Amino acid sequence: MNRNDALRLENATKSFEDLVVVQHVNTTVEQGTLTALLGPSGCGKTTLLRMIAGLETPDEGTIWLNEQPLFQDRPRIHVPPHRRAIGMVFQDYGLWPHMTVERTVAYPLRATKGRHRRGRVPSAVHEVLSQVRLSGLENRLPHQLSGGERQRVALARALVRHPELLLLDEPLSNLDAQLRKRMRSELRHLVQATPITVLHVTHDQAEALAISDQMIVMSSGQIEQTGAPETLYESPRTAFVAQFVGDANLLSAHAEHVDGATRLRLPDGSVLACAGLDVGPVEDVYGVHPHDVSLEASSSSSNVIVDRHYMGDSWHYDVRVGDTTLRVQAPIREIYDIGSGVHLSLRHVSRVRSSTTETETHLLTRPNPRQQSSEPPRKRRIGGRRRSRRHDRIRPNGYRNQSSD
Amino acid sequence: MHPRHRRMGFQINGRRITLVVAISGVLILVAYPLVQLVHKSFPLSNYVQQLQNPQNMRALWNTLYISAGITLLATSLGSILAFLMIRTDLPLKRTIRSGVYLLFLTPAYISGMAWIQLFGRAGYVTRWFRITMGLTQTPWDVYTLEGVILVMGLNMIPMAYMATANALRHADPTREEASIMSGATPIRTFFSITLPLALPGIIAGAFLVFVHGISGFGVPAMLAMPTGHLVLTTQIYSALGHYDVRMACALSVGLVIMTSIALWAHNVLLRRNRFASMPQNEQTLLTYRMGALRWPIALILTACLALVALGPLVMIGLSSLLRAWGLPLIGSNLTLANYRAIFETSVSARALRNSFLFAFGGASCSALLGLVVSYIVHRTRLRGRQLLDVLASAPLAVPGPVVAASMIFAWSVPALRLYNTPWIILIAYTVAFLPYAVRTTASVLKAMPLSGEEAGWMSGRSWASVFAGIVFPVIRRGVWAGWMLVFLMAFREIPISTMLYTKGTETVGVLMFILKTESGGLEVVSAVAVVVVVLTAIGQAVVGRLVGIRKGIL
Repeated sequence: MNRNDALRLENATKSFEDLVVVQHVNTTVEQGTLTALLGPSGCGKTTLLRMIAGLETPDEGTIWLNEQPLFQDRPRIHVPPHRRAIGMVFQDYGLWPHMTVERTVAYPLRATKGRHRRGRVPSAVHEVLSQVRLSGLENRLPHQLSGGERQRVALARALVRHPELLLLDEPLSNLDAQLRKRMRSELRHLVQATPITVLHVTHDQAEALAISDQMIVMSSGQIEQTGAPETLYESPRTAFVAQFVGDANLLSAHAEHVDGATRLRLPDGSVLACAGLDVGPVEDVYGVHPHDVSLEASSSSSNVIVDRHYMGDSWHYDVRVGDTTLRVQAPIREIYDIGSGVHLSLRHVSRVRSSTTETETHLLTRPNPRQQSSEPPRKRRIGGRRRSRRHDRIRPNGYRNQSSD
Repeated sequence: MHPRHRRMGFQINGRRITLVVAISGVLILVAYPLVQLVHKSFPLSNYVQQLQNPQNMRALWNTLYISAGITLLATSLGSILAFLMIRTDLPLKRTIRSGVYLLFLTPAYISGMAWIQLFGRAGYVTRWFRITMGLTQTPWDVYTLEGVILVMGLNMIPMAYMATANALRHADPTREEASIMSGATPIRTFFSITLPLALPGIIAGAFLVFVHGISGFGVPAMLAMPTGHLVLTTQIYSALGHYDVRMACALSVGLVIMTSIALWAHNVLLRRNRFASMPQNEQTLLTYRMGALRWPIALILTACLALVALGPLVMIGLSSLLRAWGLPLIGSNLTLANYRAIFETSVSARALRNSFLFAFGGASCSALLGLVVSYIVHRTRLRGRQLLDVLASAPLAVPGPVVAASMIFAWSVPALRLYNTPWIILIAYTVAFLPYAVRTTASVLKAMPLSGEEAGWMSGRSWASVFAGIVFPVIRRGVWAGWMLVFLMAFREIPISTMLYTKGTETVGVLMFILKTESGGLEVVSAVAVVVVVLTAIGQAVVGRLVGIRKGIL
């Protein structure tokens, strides 16, 4: 175990009846960082968080916090949630309607007998309330607070015991857009001000990119990729990460070098010039962010604008290239009419994965998901649509369909 | 725009006629008799006079005493049971739930009958106990106020159970999880979070039990009246027997004031309890682990419920099969003749037929009226609709004997002499059970989005056509469920028909009440009671099916 890892999960698995929600998850969270656990709803991220909190019991696996086991399947160790040094902010805050702010925040201190002397409780409460800027609201009840204030009460309650780990379960999702932005940076400041490790569950990739040091991307109960935000954005390892984190266009294409330039040849024969891709002639899936495509008017081009959306700070165009439609984000001055021809060049392309194209094609066109028969029969998974995708989904570390190589 | 659409914001004819009929119906049926009752209780000096009557004061104290006892007994046992059932990992939950349901199906009066047959002076258990112990005196007496408390209190456990269960089920699980994550032990979490948040719901349930305690008539009449212990309801009954109109009216008004205050408290607490809102997404509630106590507790509960819920029913069932009541419970004394007798004797056959007709008619009238009233209250902007709502739910606060008394005074005036006809019982049933019909219909109506109805109007249909073709099919199940509930309550009801019947309009309730007091034919009454319980069980199953919950509301 790395000395800097505050939290470590090994082979964590959880199913509800015959529904596997978290499957063989191995991951670590570094001491003193803010790590985002990102994934679409139903991917198992909240279950994973609740397993760390102790509110759910894993079926198998091990969970360590600062080299102390919290859970272990064999021999059995299960530290009950109230004995774990973990603070948690719930999605709907879980405030107690019959308790004032002061009593709420003092509750964790009074609940843990002995560790805090009675006389120290008020000063500790006062301290954490000023830290989250709630001084003066001590005697309010939850229904007398605004949404942002409620959230800060929940945060103060989670922080007051100085937990080793702070878990945030989509804490910003109940706030309006303006407040969310403000709370985002407040949260960031707070984490920087205190030496605390934070694991933050969200389905909002913009939020995850903006505030976290590390990101763990989950899909269908498994981890897709772990890394710094810029790594995940610029070099996604799987098609899922490229799409979910970077909102990228996915192209199943053949990269080739012609006259010192690189270009992508699509299956239907259309060709896209691209820079920033240094690979040999290889067939693969490539991800292109919409803002990494530049457009140039060209009446002779067969690539046509099929739709456009005005976004205020930019134009979003849908461009038809052969059989594919590319989403392109262009500067606000670049105006093209629907139906006009454009020439495209790709400024940055990332190669999404290195195995063969068979599964890629599925990802792009979604034909019969039950194509792989090499797969052993599996338990049912969450969500019908994701389930079918899961079958052709890509393992975090790449190789899955050796048979199709 | 089509002119008809523009008019839709106001009233069109079909709608206006319905409104007028409903409002005048509620005014005449509910408001007028109550006004009569209040009117006849005046002047105020009458109240002073009644309060100076020591018998009335004793009845008042007796009423408060038994209601408090019933509330305490039912609420404490019911809440503990509900907590164990809903929030712990207790085994045998199905069995225990069935026991509570059985208790729910048994009318209090019938379990009272069974208790007399078991523990009364000549009861089977009493006789056995005296013989084995060699006693000459009865070691206990069920004909006391404490006997009333015991019978009614145990019988109302399901009511308290449901109130607590509701409060516990609607608890937001994250509040408890937040406490656990704050480092509190499960026991501390129970006392500082779970219990305080469920308490308003539990106390609201207690007030409901209290209301039923002070309104109860059958059990006090059976167990306490014979030994001279009167409560307000039985005092009203005997005042009417003496033609003491002023006493009956003053006591009735007093009783209604008491029930209204308790119901108001119930409603306030229930509304306060809304702060324990529904959880946002389906999350499982925190389960308290009982550890090594799981099985002992479950087995003790099962045994107690078997005694309290199953015991009386077995007793009633057995005595309904006896050739004569009091004979030893052996095979050769058992017969089906009693069941044949209830259909052959003219009085009991007539009572069954009458009860069926009155309950059918009463249920139909109140379901229809309830449908219109709840439509007006929840779907129109009509001024005064709140008043209509209050009036239609007012009978909840009017105990059966008071309904009967108000009917006598309202429908004995020369122009409208319905007293001593079958119609007065039909009207009384319609009034007394109207709130139940209104509530079941209103709950489905509120769940139906208004847009469905508006889409019908925008398709160019008239109000009546939309109501018949869109609204009614959607809420139909709720209306039928309300109908069935009223039917069941009316079929087994005792005080109203006991005070309003005349020769030829006897009901099942009258039969149970009279055969008991005439101290004969207990085996035949038991057979009638079995019919009532079986009918209730079937009816409740139908209601459960209609509203989509198995075992009714448990």
